[in-house]
Formats: sequence, C-alpha cells, structure tokens
Amino acid sequence: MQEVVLKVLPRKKEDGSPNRIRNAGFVPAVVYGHDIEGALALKVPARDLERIVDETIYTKVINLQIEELGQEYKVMVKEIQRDPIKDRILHADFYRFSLEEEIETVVPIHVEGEEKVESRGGILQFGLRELEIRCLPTRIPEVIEVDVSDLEIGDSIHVSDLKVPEGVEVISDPESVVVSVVAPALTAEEGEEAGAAETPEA
Amino acid sequence: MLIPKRMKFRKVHRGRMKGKAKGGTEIAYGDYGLQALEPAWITSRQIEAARIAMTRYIRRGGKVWIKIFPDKPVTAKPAETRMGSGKGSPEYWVAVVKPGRILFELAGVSEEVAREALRLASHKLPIKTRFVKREDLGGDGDES
Repeated sequence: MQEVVLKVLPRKKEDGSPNRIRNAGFVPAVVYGHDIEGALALKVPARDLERIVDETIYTKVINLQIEELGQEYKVMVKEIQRDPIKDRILHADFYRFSLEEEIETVVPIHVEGEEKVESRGGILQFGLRELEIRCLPTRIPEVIEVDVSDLEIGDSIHVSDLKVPEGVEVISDPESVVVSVVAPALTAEEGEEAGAAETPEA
Repeated sequence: MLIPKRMKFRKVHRGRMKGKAKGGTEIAYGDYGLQALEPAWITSRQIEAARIAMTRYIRRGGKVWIKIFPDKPVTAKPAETRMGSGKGSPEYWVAVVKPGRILFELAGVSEEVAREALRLASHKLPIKTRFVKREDLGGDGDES
C-alpha cells in the first residue's frame, strides 16, 4: 500500500464557482467519511493531483494536509471526474477511512504473458480491467496479477480463478470473465458479409 | 448496416445535442480508439463505411468494436412536395454523438496499424475526431 502526501486548502465562499477555482489552477474536491460530519469542501492544486493520479490511484492512501485548519486526514480516492475532451480533472472525492473498518475499492488487473498469446495468433479480450474488493485499508494490494501465457483460443479466466492475497474479499461476480482469448477478426471481404465488428450497445 | 430490430415509436423528435458526452468517453474493450470532438448525427451508412475502411486495412488479425448504435430514425419528405400534410416518413437511422464519445475501438494490432486504420475510418465520418490510446499504454493521441 502506497502512501502519498497531498497539501490542500479549504474551499471558501470567496473562491467563487467551481469553474473559477479550476481557472485558478485548483481542482474542487470534497472529503467525507469516518468521523467527518457531512462533507468538507476542499480545493487541491491541479498539478499536485495530476502528479499522483494513475491507474493505481484507488489503492493509494493519501495523507491530506489542510494546513489552514491544522488538520490531517488519511483518505482514499473515491472518485475522479475528468473532462472527456481536455482530459483535465474536474473534481475529486476523498473518503476518510478507519483502520479497523473494511472498505470497498477497485484494484487494477495486470496481465502477464500477453505476447505468448499473440504469438499463437490469439487476441486478448478483456471483460474486466479492475477488480472490486473489500478489505482493511492496510491490506489493499496495488495490482492483481493474471498469467495468461497458457491460454489457447477460446479459453478464458474468470474472477473465481484469480488469486487474491489473504484478507481480501472479492466483490465482483465470480462468474464474470476477466479475460478471454478470441480468434482474430475475419478478413475484410468475409467481414463485410458477416458484419465482423461487435456492437456492445446493440 | 446497423438498424434497430424493433422500435417503440416510428418517428421521434429531433432533439438537441448540447454539452459533452456523459458516458462512453473511455476505452472499454480495446487498446486504441477514435474519439469524437464535435457533436453530430452519424448515420448507419457512415458507421458501416468507417467499419469497412478499418477492416479492409487491418485485414486478418485485430478486433473492432463499434461503440455507437444508430437508434434514432430520421424522417424526410419526398422531393418536390408541398409543405404540410404531416411529418415525412422515416428514411434512415442515426446515432447521436456528442464530443468526447469513443466511436470505435481496436485491439490486436500494432499502434501504427491502428492509427492508420482509424485515420481511414475518420475520413468516412462528418466530424473531427482524435486517435486515443488506453491510459496504461501511454496517454492520448492527436486530432485528424
């Protein structure tokens, strides 16, 4: 479990609208959870937040330091909202946890041996990229590793096949497919007749 | 061509395309994608033309996902008809696309092949688009 420090400021009425806060180089944020009544409105320097946000952000413990109020909270990221076009962070939700209480979070799934599958002509199709888990904050794994090197075309790995560390309970449906190996698409001519592409929303 | 199997109402209002896409803004299935940068009605013919352009280029190998579905009927009146006498008849189907929406996804091909395939596909569409990659493959791409 990684721990990072983030210095933040409380949000005040003078700060104005969320867009004004964003234009001033901050990201509007909120912290709630254990021992916090309601929620506390914050603003985080956008650069500092961008620096720590990566795919493992939901497994990191963040030490939120609010110097103005002389407070320090150990929190986890609950949600990050992004602008779909500019890709900048619009808002962040922090959750203050208790070390004795189990929390629910998502952990990225990392695949190993992808090259071996591709060398045999298969294509990996992901059903899940992240696993929902419940555990104590101190036991959150950074990633869940999956070895796919032995998979043949048509094989798949389900949530129930994943190995998770002790003390970690998986919430995701055990029957869900994590990754499967599919045959490559048909050639263009074949595909034109059969409609080779998938439409997930159809 | 993509069309709905059945529909509840034959004719629908035109609606508006305000704002940015609310969902479908991240790559969900593949490794590479084509993201819309403008709002538009994309017709089922345009989707099909883009799909064919992509699959012809990548040939055997790779997998394509179409992330939009034309579920909105568009009506039109016959040529040289006087105005009035009610709404026209359904002519074609469109997908309502707002900026930020991922239109197509690709997997199982190299980045160069994906870039070229999606560039060819983008020329079949009536909007500006951009090539995007999964985050863990290293950021997003450029406009075309």
